[in-house]
Amino acid sequence: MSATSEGSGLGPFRRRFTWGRGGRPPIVATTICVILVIAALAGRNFITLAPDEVDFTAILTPPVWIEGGSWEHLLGTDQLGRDMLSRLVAGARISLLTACAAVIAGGTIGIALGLTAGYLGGLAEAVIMRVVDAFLALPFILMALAFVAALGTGVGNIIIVMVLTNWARYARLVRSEVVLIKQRDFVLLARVAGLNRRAIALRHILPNVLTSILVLAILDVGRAIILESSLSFLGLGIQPPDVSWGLTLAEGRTYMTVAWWLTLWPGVAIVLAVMSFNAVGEWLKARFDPRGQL
Amino acid sequence: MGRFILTRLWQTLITLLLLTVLIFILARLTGDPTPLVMPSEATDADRNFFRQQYGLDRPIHEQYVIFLRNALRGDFGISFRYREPAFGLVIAAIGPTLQLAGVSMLVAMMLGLPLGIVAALRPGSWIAAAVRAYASLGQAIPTFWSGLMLILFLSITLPIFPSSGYGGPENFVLPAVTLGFYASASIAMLTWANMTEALRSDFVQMERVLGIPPRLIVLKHALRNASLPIVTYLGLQFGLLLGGAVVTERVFAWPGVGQMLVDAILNRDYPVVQAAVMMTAVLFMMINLMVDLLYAVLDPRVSRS
Amino acid sequence: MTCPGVMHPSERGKRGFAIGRRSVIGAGIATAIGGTRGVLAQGTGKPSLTVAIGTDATTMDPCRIAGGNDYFFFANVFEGLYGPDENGRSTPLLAESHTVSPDGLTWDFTLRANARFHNGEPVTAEDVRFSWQRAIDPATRNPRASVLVANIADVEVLELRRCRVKLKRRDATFLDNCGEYWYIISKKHVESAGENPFDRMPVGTGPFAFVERRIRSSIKLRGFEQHWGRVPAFGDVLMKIVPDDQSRVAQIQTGESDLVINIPPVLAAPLQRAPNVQIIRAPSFQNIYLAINALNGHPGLRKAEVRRALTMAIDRQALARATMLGFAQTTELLCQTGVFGCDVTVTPHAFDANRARELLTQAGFDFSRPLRILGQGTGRVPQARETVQGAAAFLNRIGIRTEINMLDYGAWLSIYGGREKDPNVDLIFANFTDYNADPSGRLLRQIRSGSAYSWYSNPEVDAMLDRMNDFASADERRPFVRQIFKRLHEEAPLIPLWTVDSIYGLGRRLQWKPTPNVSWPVLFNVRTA
Repeated sequence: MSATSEGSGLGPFRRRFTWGRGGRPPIVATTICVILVIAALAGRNFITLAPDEVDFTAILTPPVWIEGGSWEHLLGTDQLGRDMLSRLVAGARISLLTACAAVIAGGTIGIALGLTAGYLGGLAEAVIMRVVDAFLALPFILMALAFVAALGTGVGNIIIVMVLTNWARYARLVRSEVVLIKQRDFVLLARVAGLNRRAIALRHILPNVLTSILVLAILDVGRAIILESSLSFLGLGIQPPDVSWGLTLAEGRTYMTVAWWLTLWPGVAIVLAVMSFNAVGEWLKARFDPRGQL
Repeated sequence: MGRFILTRLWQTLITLLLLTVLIFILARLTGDPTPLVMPSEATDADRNFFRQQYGLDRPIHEQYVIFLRNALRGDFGISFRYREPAFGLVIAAIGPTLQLAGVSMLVAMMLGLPLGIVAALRPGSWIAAAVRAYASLGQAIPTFWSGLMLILFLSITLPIFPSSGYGGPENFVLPAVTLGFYASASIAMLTWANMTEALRSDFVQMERVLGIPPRLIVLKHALRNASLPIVTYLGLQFGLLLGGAVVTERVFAWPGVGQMLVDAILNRDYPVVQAAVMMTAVLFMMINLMVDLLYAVLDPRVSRS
Repeated sequence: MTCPGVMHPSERGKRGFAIGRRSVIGAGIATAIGGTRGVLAQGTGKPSLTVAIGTDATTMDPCRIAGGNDYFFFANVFEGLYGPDENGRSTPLLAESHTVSPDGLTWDFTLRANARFHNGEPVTAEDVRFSWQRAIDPATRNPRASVLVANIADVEVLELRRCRVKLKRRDATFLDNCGEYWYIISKKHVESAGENPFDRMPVGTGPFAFVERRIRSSIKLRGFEQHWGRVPAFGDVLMKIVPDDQSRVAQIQTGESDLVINIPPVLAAPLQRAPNVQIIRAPSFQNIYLAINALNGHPGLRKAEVRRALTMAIDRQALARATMLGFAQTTELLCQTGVFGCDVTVTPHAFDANRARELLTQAGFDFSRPLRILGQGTGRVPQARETVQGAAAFLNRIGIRTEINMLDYGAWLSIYGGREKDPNVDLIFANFTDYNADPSGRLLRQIRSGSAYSWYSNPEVDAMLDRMNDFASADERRPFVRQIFKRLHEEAPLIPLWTVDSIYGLGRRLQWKPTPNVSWPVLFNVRTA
């Protein structure tokens, strides 16, 4: 990213704005993120029990430290006797995959279109922004439900649905920032200096809108995880035999008063993941924020 | 300014037209409503009559033209499920949703704005850390979970507020807090980010050097500079509350438009889907329009460009 | 004093919500939107009752009923000549008695002298005739006419309170189906109320009269003091619509509702210990099963021995314990206790994984091809997802690979009830609710070739089913129906899993015995303790 090279000169403000003391990266959050990513990518190699292995003799076994628990199922089992730990690890894969894929794809499309609209103006802007407005005016849940109802509920479809629902927000935010930035002196100077439009857009405007985008994107990973679980709550998210945190949480919620571990573990996983991504994202933002040099 | 408003109105109309196409196609993507509307005892003649009655046997472009023509007159057709005009059903549901969204927005702003400002003013302090934790939590907890927790603690364990339903002001508390808490997190983060940026700007630094009292700097200048993206975001957020309160509406049995929309989609009730989406969309765009106008007032450069 | 048929002007203003404009369409379906207000006796001094239900009724017109959920409303507000008694058996309601000709084609009914409509008018033979005429009138577009009323050749008015119903064909189910398929309506009301009379003001004869409705929010009823016998202990009855299971159960825990309908087993189990709630269960006719695509799915499924082996491969007891927590009765036959002709002894297809595997191998079952299972991702069946995953796990254990596809209820229904049966589906999780103890409802719709939910075809079975209702005497019919159930047990066109219990939550201050085998409770017998 072009922003990286520009962020190397660090000013006094950066120190004040970071999570860890003295500008150190947030160790705990980073560790959690790394663990989650490893779990998502290679988790299946570490778990001994299959996440969809039904065992009617071990239904609703509590976690090992509670009376009735067993070492076989460290975090307990669910309503069909499936191992919660295995399900959490397997769930990380789909939850993170869908969330990240949706944010990256939606963000890229949104930035590209927002930048084009904001910088070019004219007809391009008019067309893009009308489409953006139309998408923004559609309630998320409608699009999600309609697509799920039409296409079915595979992981790929859930990602498509999420991208369809988030790209327009990036586009709108980028465009609104670009409209302001392109009036700034340094852009005007670049233009006077004879740089072509693409160079100006990519080298001078893009880095300046990345702050807002990053905040939005970071929060969006969490948002995407939550949305997936909300769809599951309505019965239209990820479907068995696939496993996701949202699905586990939604299916376990009727057991909330009987077996708290069904909702607590996926709930904790979601909250931890979102908070860690936020913390790391915030730190990255402070470190590479081009305006942090001021 | 007048020209700016006219342009925006014109744009809004085009967007609306685009939206009618989008929503018309989306609704029909979901599948045939006949098996859901007709009981299993119904004969083929009954089923065919249903399709004819609602024009579902016509070519799709013809259906669209009829839909558009009627929609322009405020007629969104008759609900397949309830056999009532879809427009009336949606109008009845949009009131509760607007009220809930409004109250939730108020809760969210009352929580989010001050937290964001305070955190920006004291970077690195425990307050900032607390706000960060708050915002992370707010974004990380699914609304159906926080809603159910509120019901569990504040209406079952301690019977203070009603667990669900719509009616008196007491019914607003739990759903509005559920939604408001969620929305306040992102508002706090955005306020924080923009305030920090505004405080770092040359202009504010200069004022600081000049010895202008910090309170005045914050309230008059920094806040004004930071407010632009925040206002945009508030508009977006309100729209999200309109359409995205579905889960909360379901948990609290709130008879709003979000729940109606989910039911309508699950029941393939095209007229209601179309009416509900068009109504929320019109509302949402009106809000957007107002945001843009506010934008223009706050930053004169926008309307000039 | 009541003032039938007149809406007091001041009451209009009190409607739930004002509607800004009314859209009128060519079809002329201009109706009172959302809030419709009825007429009723004020100030009976009786206590009020709040009931939480899961889904709203789709119509208030007895000739437009679309599905089971509508009966929460209709069972309380309308009545037929016959209907279920407190034990779920068919009993005279608006009729007092009947005689039937030896050939089973002519039925003479005597009406109750004290039966009245909610508008105060007495129920007469003329009304019975009119109810039939309206139900079969093509203009009414009654989607369920085919079940009962279409088979009526004529209704003759003999006297003020005596009428003769002549059937076209003999129909052993006639009396049983009178309850849900032929509600008696007031001729006077319909003729005076103009178009769509029931959308404005549904006038019936049931123990509760309609007061007001807010679509998707609530239905308000009031105890009908002039009812011929079932006078409720309550004045106002508010049916609140609370779709989410957990929120609905919270209603009874907080005391906001006195009675909660359709509690999932998982939520009912912990409530049994709650101090202020009584959990009441009643047997129901809601059947859960796996339909087998014996038409064009996995080729092995066309063999009866394969279908029987699949039934043996699933431990229904264990599955029911795990998913339904004991709130279900497993079934061996395609029927359950209480259904006419179901008292058959058969050798059960008891759970035996090894034997199942053996039988499949003998039958040359192709294990390399997976069974594709269609499940319900949304819907009102408790633990539908768990059931499918559990059943699949049992199949996996004997070496059958499975692919689960969970769809939302609408998409599921369009495949399950589709005219052309989808060859990409092998097993379908399904539920079917009977309206009464007569077996023809289920058999003619789930088994008979070409019917909506049948994925099976056998000309011999079809011939038996076509004869099933052609009996004048129940004693002659019973052995025949038993034979059908026996034959179907061998044929195994579907895997019966269980019949779920209806679970209700009731406040401590109330007393109630829900009618067994009726999935939509009639609330007239709820009493204060």
